[in-house]
Amino acid sequence: MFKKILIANRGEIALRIIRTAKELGIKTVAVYSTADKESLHVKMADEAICIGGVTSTESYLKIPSIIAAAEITGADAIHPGYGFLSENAKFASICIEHNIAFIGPSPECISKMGDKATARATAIANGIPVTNGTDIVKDIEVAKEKVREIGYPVIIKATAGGGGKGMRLTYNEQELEKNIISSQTEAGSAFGNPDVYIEKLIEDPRHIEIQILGDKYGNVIYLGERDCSIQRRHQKLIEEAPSFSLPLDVRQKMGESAVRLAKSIGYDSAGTLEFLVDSNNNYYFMEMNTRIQVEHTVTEMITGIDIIKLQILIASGGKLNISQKDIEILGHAIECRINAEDIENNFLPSPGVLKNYIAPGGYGVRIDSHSYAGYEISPFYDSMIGKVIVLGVDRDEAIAKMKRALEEYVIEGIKTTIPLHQKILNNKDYEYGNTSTKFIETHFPELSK
Amino acid sequence: MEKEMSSVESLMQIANEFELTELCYSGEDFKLHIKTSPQKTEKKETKKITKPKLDTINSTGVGRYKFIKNGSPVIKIGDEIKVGTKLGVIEAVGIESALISPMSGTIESFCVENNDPVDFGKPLLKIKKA
Repeated sequence: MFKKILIANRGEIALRIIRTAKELGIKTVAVYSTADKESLHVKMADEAICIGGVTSTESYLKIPSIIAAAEITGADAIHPGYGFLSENAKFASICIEHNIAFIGPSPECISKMGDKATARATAIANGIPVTNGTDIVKDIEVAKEKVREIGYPVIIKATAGGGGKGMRLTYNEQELEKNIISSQTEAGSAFGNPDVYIEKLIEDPRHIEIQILGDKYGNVIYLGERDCSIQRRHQKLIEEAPSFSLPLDVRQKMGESAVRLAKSIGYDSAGTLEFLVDSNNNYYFMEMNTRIQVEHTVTEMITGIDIIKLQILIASGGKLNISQKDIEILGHAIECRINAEDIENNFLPSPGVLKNYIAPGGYGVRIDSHSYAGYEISPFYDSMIGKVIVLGVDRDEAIAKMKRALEEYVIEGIKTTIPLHQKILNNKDYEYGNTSTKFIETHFPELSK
Repeated sequence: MEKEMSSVESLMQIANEFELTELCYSGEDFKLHIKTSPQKTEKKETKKITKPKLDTINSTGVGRYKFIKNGSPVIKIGDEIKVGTKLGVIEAVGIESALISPMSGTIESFCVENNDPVDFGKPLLKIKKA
């Protein structure tokens, strides 16, 4: 087992990892930028090292400083959290080269799944359904011809993409060339890789993802699914587990598909396979996230499994100590991501000092947050204040609990997205489970612009 | 009488020691009211000690700060430095990054020992600015 873990991240996920490490008796090292000096992860870790200035490139993305911090503190493992360097195969390799364990999958797995076109090809090779589409676009005329076969509308995606960057919805051939070029340009500047591919657009899909766990001995299990259909501009707002709309046999097939794909690449950590599901419950593999996800919490709530703990145990060479038959789903969990944003002003970030902060509590309510009264939400990073996670015996109870928890949540001094979550939770279609990735656009068009 | 005189002397000493301008005493045998002359206190001049204003040079990276190379110091207390003077290196994972002075002045003191681990922004040297 590791003796000391350095957490190459900030905010709530850094705290989340520190907490599990403490429970495992492992020492922790926080790294921080000059903007995060007063952050809770800095105060809660056993040691803290300032790694640079306020921007991410000067600090949380600066590989030499992070490795140096591990070296001077004697950390024998690095947990990358999510975002920042979590899906950077080069960083994972550098950690290994310096005899520091990377708490995540092997660099080979990250590379294979990080490139979306390769991930898609791997899925096809393993008999996992994907939407009809093209390979990397090399010639616009060839692409036009292929899209004529597939049929409009289509979606252009960056192979190195994430967070909706480079994506272009395209409804006809007149738009295709222009959209391919603008997608390539955006992808090139955002990811340093301008390659794009095209997929048939699934109208009104649900976003369903499967949480998997693999070890270094070829064992892979799945921990059920999550429904993350409530999104705004490809950013998830509410996540739930289990899926309330899919028949059990479809969920099982998706889980088995996920395990098959993970096994085929020797996947050896926590990971998530994202699928789109159409109105006829046909599912299509979209991409794999080779890291812990923000919404891993809802899976933890319904399975009783600490995913971070298993991720650490696996990275230290441990065998998965649970098998598929041990996985039992109990109850229904919902997570709301609370951000410092002004929903009435195009979701403009609302950084500032939390003049008052009182988190909700009570039976079945979990708060994963790095916030406290007096803490300043920085304008330099994402605007998350915290995650409210609830567990109910069923979806109705979970919704009622979430409404109660959000009502209790006191955050003063900045604007938050709590009013948006309350609007969604009080919507009848949401209550009945009539949701898709178009939910916000359809029900709150004024908020989706 | 002798005893009273000695008590008065003690009280005078207290008044002097604490630079009191006035002191009243009521004992069993006598009462005393001492007032010191204002001229006397004015005579006492206190020397103002003005500390030189020092600036710090902070770490620009993460690693071990080395200002002794092969047994000889690269810099030492009292050295005159200029903007651009090399002040040693910050070494991590076998890579050395030079610490370059952003100011001119005289090295007053070191804030860390040679080869100490340092993080970004940690004060390393105190400089009397030129």
